[in-house]
Amino acid sequence: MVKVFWRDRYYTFEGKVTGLEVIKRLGLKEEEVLLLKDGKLLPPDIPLEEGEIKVIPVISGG
Amino acid sequence: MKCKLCGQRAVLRLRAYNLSLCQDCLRDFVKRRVQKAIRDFRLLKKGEKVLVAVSGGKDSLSLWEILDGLGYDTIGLYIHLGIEGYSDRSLEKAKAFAQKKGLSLLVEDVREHFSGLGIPQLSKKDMRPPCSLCGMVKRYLMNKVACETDRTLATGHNLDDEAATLLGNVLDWKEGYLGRQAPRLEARDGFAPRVKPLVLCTEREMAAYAIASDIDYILEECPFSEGATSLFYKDVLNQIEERSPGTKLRFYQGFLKLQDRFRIEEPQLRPCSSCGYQTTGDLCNFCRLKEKAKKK
Repeated sequence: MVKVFWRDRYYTFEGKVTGLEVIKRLGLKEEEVLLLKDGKLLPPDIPLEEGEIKVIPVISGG
Repeated sequence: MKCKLCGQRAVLRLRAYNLSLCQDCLRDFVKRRVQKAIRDFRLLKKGEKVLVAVSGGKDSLSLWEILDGLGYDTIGLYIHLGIEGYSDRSLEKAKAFAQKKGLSLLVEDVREHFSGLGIPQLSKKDMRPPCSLCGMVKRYLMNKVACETDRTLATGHNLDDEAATLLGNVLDWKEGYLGRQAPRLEARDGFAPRVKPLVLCTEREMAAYAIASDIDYILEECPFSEGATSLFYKDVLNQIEERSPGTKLRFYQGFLKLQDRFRIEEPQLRPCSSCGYQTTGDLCNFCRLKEKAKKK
């Protein structure tokens, strides 16, 4: 099971899922987020291993 | 997915360039884009003295690291906006970065100029949105420090920022703003030269660069940025980018080729009667706000 943290909430994903699929399932665009595990960038196309993934926004405004 | 340049495992896919990159090649890629901007737009001369405006965020801290690495004589400038909690946390990030890299950081506190009031209080007093007030105050202080230190001011505006600003200016056909929206603004009487070396790098590339370079930046957004029009324009542009990768870059670069068509005559300026900096009226907006802040 992959646990994904995005905007103060945890989402869980069962089975094989890639970073790109996580981004899509959360309704996000690839251009506006990055995926991290233990503070490191995650390859977007390979199935995620069990553990906690953090999705961070890259767009800032003002 | 392998890095197209070295064959290692890629960590970022850049659809605009049909390129996947590993962590090290990503860092080189961003540095090369900054060098390209510096070269193509004649932003900086070799060894030029630069004042880097830093907010504690990914763009400005990464810019500082890159310019320092390229051999420019840099110092940082942080402007404390007096926004409870957020400003202190951002300052800590900027300070920690400067300390880690052995670089000098200057700090200007807005409250010291406005009788102890920060941007939120000034916004209420002046009945203006905090973002427009903040922009004016920051531009004034950045220019003032750049003039005093005789340095070129570098800001961390990236491609997304510039494309969103451009979209807003085009939608309203703000010809004056279009004429001035350039990667480099030359020095003129009372104004230090200003450069934007990140204009060829997207916001996502800069965030990835910061993470790959182990730069500890503030992830938190300014509490006043919620609902900002610039965020809406960025979202619209990213929707187009999703369908047609590279659009943001083509939009911005295409504009730069046509920009001469929007050049309009600069308004007549004269020294502010209080601070001496150039303004269109008798008193500049910064000094006018100062007067207001003094009143109970």
